[in-house]
Amino acid sequence: MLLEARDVKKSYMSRRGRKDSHGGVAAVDLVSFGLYGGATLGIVGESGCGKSTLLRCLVRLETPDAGQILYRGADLSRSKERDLREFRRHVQWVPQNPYSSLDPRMLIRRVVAEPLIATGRRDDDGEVTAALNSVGLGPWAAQRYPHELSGGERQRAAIARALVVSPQLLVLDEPVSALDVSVRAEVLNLLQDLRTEYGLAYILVAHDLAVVLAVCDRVAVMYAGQFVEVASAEDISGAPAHPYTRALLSAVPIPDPRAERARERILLRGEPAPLSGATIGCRFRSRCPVYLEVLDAQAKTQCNEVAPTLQQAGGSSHTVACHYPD
Amino acid sequence: MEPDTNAADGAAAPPAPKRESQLRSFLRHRAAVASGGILLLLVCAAIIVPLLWRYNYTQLTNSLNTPPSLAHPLGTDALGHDMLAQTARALGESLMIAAVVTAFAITVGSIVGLVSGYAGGRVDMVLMRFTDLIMTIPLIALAAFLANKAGSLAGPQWLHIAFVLAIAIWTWPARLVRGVALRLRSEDFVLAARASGVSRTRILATHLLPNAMSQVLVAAPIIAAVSILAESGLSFIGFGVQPPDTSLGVLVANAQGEMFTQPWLFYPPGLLIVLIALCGNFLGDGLRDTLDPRGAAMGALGLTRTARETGTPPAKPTARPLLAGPDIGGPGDALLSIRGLSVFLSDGTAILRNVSLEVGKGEVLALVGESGAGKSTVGNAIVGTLPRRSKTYGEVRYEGRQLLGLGFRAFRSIRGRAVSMILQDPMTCLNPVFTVGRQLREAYVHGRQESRGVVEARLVEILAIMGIRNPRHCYRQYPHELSGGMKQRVAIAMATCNEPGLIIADEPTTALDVTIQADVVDLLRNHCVKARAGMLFITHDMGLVAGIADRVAVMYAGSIVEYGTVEDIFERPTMPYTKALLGAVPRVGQAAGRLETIPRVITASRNLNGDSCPFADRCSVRFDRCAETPPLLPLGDGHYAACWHASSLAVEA
Amino acid sequence: MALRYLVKRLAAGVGVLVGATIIIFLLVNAAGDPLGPLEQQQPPVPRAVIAAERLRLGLNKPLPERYLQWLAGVVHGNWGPSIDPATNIGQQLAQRIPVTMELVGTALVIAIILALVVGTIAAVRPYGIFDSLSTPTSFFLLALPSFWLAVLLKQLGILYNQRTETQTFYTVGSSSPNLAPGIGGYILNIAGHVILPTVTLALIHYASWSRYQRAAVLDSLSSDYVKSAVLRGLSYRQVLWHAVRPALIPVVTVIALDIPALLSGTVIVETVFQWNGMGAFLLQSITEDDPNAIMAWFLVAAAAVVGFNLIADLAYALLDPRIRYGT
Repeated sequence: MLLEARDVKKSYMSRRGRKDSHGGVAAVDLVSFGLYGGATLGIVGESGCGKSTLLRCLVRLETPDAGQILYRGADLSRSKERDLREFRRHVQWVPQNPYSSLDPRMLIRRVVAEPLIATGRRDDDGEVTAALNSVGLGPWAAQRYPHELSGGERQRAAIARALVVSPQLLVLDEPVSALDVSVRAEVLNLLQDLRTEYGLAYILVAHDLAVVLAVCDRVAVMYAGQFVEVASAEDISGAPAHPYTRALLSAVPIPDPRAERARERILLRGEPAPLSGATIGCRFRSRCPVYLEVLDAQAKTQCNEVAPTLQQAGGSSHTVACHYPD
Repeated sequence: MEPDTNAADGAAAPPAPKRESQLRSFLRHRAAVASGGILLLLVCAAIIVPLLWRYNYTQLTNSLNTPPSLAHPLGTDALGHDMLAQTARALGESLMIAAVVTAFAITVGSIVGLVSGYAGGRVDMVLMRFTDLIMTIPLIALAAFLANKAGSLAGPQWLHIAFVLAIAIWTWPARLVRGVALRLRSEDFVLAARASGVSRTRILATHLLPNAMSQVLVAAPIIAAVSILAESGLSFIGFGVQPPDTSLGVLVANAQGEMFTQPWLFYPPGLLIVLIALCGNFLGDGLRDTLDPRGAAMGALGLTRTARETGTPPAKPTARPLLAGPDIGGPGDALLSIRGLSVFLSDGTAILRNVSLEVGKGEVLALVGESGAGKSTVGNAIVGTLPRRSKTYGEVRYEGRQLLGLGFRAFRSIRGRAVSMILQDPMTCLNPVFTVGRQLREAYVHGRQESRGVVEARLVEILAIMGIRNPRHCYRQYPHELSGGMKQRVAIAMATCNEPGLIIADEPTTALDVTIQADVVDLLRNHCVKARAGMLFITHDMGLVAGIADRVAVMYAGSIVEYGTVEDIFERPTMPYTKALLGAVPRVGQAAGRLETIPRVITASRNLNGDSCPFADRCSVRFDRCAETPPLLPLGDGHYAACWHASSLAVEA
Repeated sequence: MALRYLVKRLAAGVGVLVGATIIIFLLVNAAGDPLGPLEQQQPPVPRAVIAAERLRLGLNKPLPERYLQWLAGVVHGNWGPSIDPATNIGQQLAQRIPVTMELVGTALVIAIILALVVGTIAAVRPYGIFDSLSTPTSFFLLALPSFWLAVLLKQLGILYNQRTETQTFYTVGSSSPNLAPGIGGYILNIAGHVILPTVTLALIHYASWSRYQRAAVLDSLSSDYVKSAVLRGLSYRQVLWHAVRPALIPVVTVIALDIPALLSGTVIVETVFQWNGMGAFLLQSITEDDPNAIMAWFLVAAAAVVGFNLIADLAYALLDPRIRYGT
């Protein structure tokens, strides 16, 4: 297994400074998953669900408060910087905003070469050009400044920067959300091509389910700091088990007027719950249509008192965290 | 289907952008250049005059209190000093002290600021507390005290004074640099560097330092201006430069009582100080515009001059006179009717070219396009919020009344009442210092006579209809207490409370989560149905369009390129851009295959001018006729496409 | 809630003051022996006298002990012995603080009002006639040395008095016996004394604050919430208020940061116009090398800065609901 997370937890002090018993807001609460080389995992969730925080923990931009992050079996969750060298070379991070992910004062050439220097390799023009080529940018791009490139080109440059050290895993945070529709398509195609050509593994975070499904084989749905369902792309869209997944699916607009207007919308009440320190029971229940409309009082006690954990559901690799996933 | 072209590999490089060297850019600031020149001149004068002039600054001549003459161009004082010599010496002293103070303050300040900002945490806190404490002590007081003590130390006097002043002044550049470092620390490119394993020192040196240094360079002349004002003030009260040495402040002190009797003693030193300080400020301004134009150093979202748009290129200016648009059809007395709308910026660029569309009562028209297509501009043109210096042509009629060119007063009766607009970002569209209730009331009350209580009850009811859980409480809350979804609902409440006939929704759900988006879109649709209001729904999301629109207008580079019912557009897309746009959208449930893309630029643009089809240079089925702009050609049943292939490519129903 | 916020700021202010006392004490006392000049005086002063002075001033004790003693004294209103045995520091402060407060308070009010008004008008019609006049004026004022302006105004005042053969402007001292009868005369008397020094002090700070106000209002005018106000069909005045009201908040910060500079300015203005305020007291104490007096001055100045910052915090709480109701 290439990368594995076990019960990763990361909290922030809640902004009101209130003393929760858990000492803060758990942005990532007991997340576990495993990723094999060459596989792709997409993480879908709405704002505030903790996906960006999870990514930052995975690439060790932040240190998780609890749990383990294993790279090729070795736990790196607490390692010092100098022990992370190899890890950093093999696991590269592509940030979200192409307009701020490249230093505006540096030529693209220098930007792309930076990871080479960081891992102690020589700053080689050849490698830079090769990386730019693989993302579809010609050598001309190396001599430009970031603001002289369009958004799509900038995002490619950011990916080139990640590729220049021949990594095994790319961690992408909302790679296309800041781009126009047609440009998104280019970048998504590029990601597919790169995977085929270099056998890269991806962990891709997005709030748009369609984007995730376009690139990833497996999908994890995240809500309030936890994974609530993990399954293959087909299962997620074809046989969603968790009520949140179903609501998410029903909310994604379909570019087909007849289908879009014909379908039934599952509307969630309220807002994504503000994260608070200690929650007993299921975090989704304040918005869960099953809880609010279908269950009787006795059935609800289960949801009130016991926080659901990921359990098998349906197919072998399909897990869901719900007491009543039907 | 169209061939799948991802022509970025191997395509010709886009033309090299014109890069202006920083020097050239700086030279365009006349005030800054003049200031720099003047300062240079003064420095030279301070050096050269004492060398060449026949009198020394300590020398006493026989002419006492004489006004300016050939022998003594700046006159003499009561003791017979030649004032030119004295002034030159004073100028030199003041400039030298200012320079040393600036150098010291900048060096120490930058180091402290960088360390504090980048290290963060406890180090930052301690350093900043210390800095704050120093900043609470009035500068002149501290300087006077220290200068007095330093008088007994060895070494040149001016150095002591410079040192003393620097101790008070370094705090400002420290705060400045700290601010820069803090901001940069969480910038994506710094995070990316850290994630790649770049060492902290390297990040400091390659990313933070250059950005911080430009800020420091901008601050330097201003610090120099502050220094010279401080030094002369100190010298004026007697604690700065001591006789027999002199500085500009000393000269003013000596001339206090003689302002009318011997003006040549009073005005030159004062005016010199003013001149130096002014030049310093202008120089700083000029440097700021050159080195740090509007957040370029911060990697802000604002695109600088040479950036290109992502999805669509900006519309090219057209030389041909504009034609009125075709008869779009649709219901005869449309609610909103736009014909031949064209908008040009002050520099001649066309952002809208000959746009025509119609919205009927109870109908939803979706305006789709990527960024730069001009869709928001259409909305702005309707409500009269286009940029000030733009030129507009054409007709925008609401219930027959021409809206273009209406003044603020005339628009007042229309905005918010007949036509209202919902903005994109709910986070910023509500005023943070007023309550929700007050802002709602303002929108609602104009022209009504009802009492406050009745108004409030009605507005609370509207909030409830919008789906706000606790409307009475929300009415009294401030915007920062609400979530994004709630804020957008409030915005919709404000836009609909007067039951306008036309609602313009400009990307109303872009900033919202997808589950909230579904809710909000439903809300809008229901309102339109119930109130028989027309809606112009501006978006880039084809999925949303499919769900809410009755008719669709697809925009590209400032023109409408396809127009028709929602079924026409989705099931029978004709214009190549529309087809590509539909093919580019990833769909849930679709097998993870390749998406359709639009090539960057296939053909060199030398054959294309403003008169050609705007999509021509990226179109895979371009042919000769495309050198002429296609109008919206009818395909039957109210479906139009601006493409010469229209007739031949129109797919059978 | 707002109260909790204010209490926190008060506590922070007290903390700053305590920190300030440490720095002030170290600064003044580590900088040399105040009895140095006495020891070098000719004809030589008897050793016994010097020793007695040392004892009186408490200079024979170790530094930390002296600090605590001083601090304890200050808290009880005892500022310590002056180097001139005839002077009572506390009394001096009591006399001089009101004088300076008169100057500072009036200047502050004038500068703030002027800055807000001018800045707002300039922002509403940028590059118009008003802005084209006020902007260069502000630039010029920012470059003007306060002492030069003070002397200029003083001499002009004297000239005016001479030409009109009246005593309209008082250029020496902060007050003089009232010769004219009635309330009108009394007010004219006060105004005559106050006006020139206050205008001097106010003009310079007005210049920088009005620039900030202009920038803040311009920024606000281009915001989404102002556009939203326009789109709701509000009147011109209502839209303007939507723009100006939030723009008042950043200006408060700038004004609070400038208070120490304002106090610096009083030192110079009091010197030129010969007011017997805190400024004159400082210069006198420095010249006489009177450590306790100097420390007292710095402490009062620090307290003034902290006090004004608290007022600024109060202003924030009033102006910004995000602070009032906590984010």
